[in-house]
Amino acid sequence: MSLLTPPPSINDSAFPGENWFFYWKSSPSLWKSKLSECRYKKILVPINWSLHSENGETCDFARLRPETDLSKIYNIAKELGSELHFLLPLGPVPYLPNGGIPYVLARVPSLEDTGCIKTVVDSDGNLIKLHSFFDPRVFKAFSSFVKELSEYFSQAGINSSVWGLNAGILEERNFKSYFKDSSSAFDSSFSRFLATKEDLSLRARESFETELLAKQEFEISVQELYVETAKGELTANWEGVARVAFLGGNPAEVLERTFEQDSLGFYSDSLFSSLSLNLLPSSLLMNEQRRDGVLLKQFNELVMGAYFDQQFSLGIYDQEGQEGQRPLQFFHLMSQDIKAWKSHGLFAFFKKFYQWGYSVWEPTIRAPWDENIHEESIIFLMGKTVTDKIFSQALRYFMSGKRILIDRFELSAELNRKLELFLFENSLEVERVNFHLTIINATLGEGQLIIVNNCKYAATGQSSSLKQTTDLSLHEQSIFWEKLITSKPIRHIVVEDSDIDFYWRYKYPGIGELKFEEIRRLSFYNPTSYKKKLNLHFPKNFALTKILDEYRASVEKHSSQCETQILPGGSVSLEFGLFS
Amino acid sequence: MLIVVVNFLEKGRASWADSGQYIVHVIDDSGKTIRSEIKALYNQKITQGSHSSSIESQLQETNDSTCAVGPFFSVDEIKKLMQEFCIQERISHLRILTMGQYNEILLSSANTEDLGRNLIVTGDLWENTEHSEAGFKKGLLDKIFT
Repeated sequence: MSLLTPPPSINDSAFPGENWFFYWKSSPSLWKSKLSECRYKKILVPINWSLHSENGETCDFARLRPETDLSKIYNIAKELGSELHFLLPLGPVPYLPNGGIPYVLARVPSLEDTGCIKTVVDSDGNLIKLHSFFDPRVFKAFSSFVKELSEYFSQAGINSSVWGLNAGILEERNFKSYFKDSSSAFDSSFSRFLATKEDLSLRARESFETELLAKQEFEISVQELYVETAKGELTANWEGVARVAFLGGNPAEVLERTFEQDSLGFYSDSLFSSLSLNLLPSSLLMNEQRRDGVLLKQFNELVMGAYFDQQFSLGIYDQEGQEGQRPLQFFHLMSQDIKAWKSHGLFAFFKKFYQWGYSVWEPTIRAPWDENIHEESIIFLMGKTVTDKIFSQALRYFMSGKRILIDRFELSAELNRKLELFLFENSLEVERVNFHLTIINATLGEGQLIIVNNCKYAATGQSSSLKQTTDLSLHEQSIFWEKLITSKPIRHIVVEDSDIDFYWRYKYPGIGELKFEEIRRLSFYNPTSYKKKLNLHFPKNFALTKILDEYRASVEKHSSQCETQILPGGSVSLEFGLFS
Repeated sequence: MLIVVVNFLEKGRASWADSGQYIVHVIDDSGKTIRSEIKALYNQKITQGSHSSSIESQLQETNDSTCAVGPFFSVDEIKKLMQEFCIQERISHLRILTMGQYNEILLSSANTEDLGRNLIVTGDLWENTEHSEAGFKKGLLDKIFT
């Protein structure tokens, strides 16, 4: 332990990153000056439950302590023209002691599947121990807290948006919420749950797999209970649930982070994955050393701006005024079942041609047709997740000239019938192709509806229509998807065999760029300690218009190609104009 | 060098998917970790009684939970499995923590500094005499407390 006075932090602890405002880390008298320095219009204010309710029973909203005065923050933001978005944690959070619950309630630590206590290292090197939200005392206290919060908001006239905060991490490119728990609190409440549901109880006893499914069902039910409780009380302000992936927040990384064995490359990958999963990545747990350099640049360029605004937009009309570069995503997968998509060989195909050019959606939260997605996009539907509503929205989307792919396996009999009827009644141009699978290709103007006909495989008991593609080699799988997708080509520059981190964004042309249909920006980052080189060839309908933000990098431009060299920690962006 | 093994396989804690996992945590003379990873034993090989085969082949990482389902390992069994690895890597001291001990350390540590210190001093210590002098010199514990 050092006896020297620690050097002052470069970063403001009240604004630890990505526009989060930790009001408890600053004196209320400084709030105005701090908020006025904020560069972005939208400010996220996470509500600190343990600050407002130390004992879990009584709450303080500016009654005793001025630092609990949320209306003051609201009024300052209003005066400054900022837009406040309150975040109400609906589970443990990794940036507050005890995961954010009042000290008195922090009795049952949350456990990993391995039996290890869920612990996270924060940006100051503190060990944050998360506690179980399956403890009935926690739920009871949470209910009364949101009730008081709602009353306070209504009395103080606070009409800012409130989002439920589902904090978690990325694990094998899947979002894993901190809410998940294997503690004794979970086990005992699960037993009580089973006792009230006889059929589920019988199913759970059948095998280990059925027990796991029953546990998942219970977990989702409890999580929804927290969401519904908050939503019910805060109806006037409620906007939805924001899922935030904390980089470096995986309890399995505690030892690596303790001894600084973590790598920047890993965080880059997590950041890009978060963007593809429609999550808000957060660097709040990173220390200054880690957050500086390439990672900070990536957050500033890729997260803050259009993507951040889209995450906290209040509907499609709110997004229309948004400017700036958005992630260039052509493929929108309407199911969070990453494992299933992987087994289809889709991710190998994306990696080869459209690295990070996809987006995975949770249909119950948001859907791509409600957002401003890229015009050349294809929406992928997986039969088992298609509901009546999704089905009709998808067909409507196709009729408006967009591209949809439906994997028919596990599509309900009723929807299968409707689909056949739809093809028949609308006299669509239908083409049936046999290429590894039977494929139906229906077109209507610009619209394309690809249906993977799986009856043959369903009859043989295959677990997925596209599972057949897993019998193919990786190369063959890629060719399968390439042929299928490029039946109507997507205009894109493929970055071949690169081990450099890169990310594509796009925007529509502004004044002075009107000769182009679209402006695309390709950003390269080198988080490694090695020099990287890359040759990029681009088709004739792409013109390299700008080389931006060169830092420890050089670009040599030729007629239809460019050579890029990036030193460790370097980055550069290339801007292309796209014309017909 | 010292190796700390956090045993995920504490008896009585029956878990399906994770059995076979443990953290290997190699600390050098100065107290810094030079390797820290979660490993999983290939239980099929273990159940076939291949304790004598190369430790590296048994320490293959696996994400396939079906491979990880198997018998639970005691501290002695882990110690035996790690012995060859320690000799190969010239690791002088092996410290084994049960999950209970590891959890205790997590609960009692306020920050990463506490955690590192507590990991080194807690647990069952086994010394590999062949390399203990060369690798450990004055002793890591002395270094920390003096």
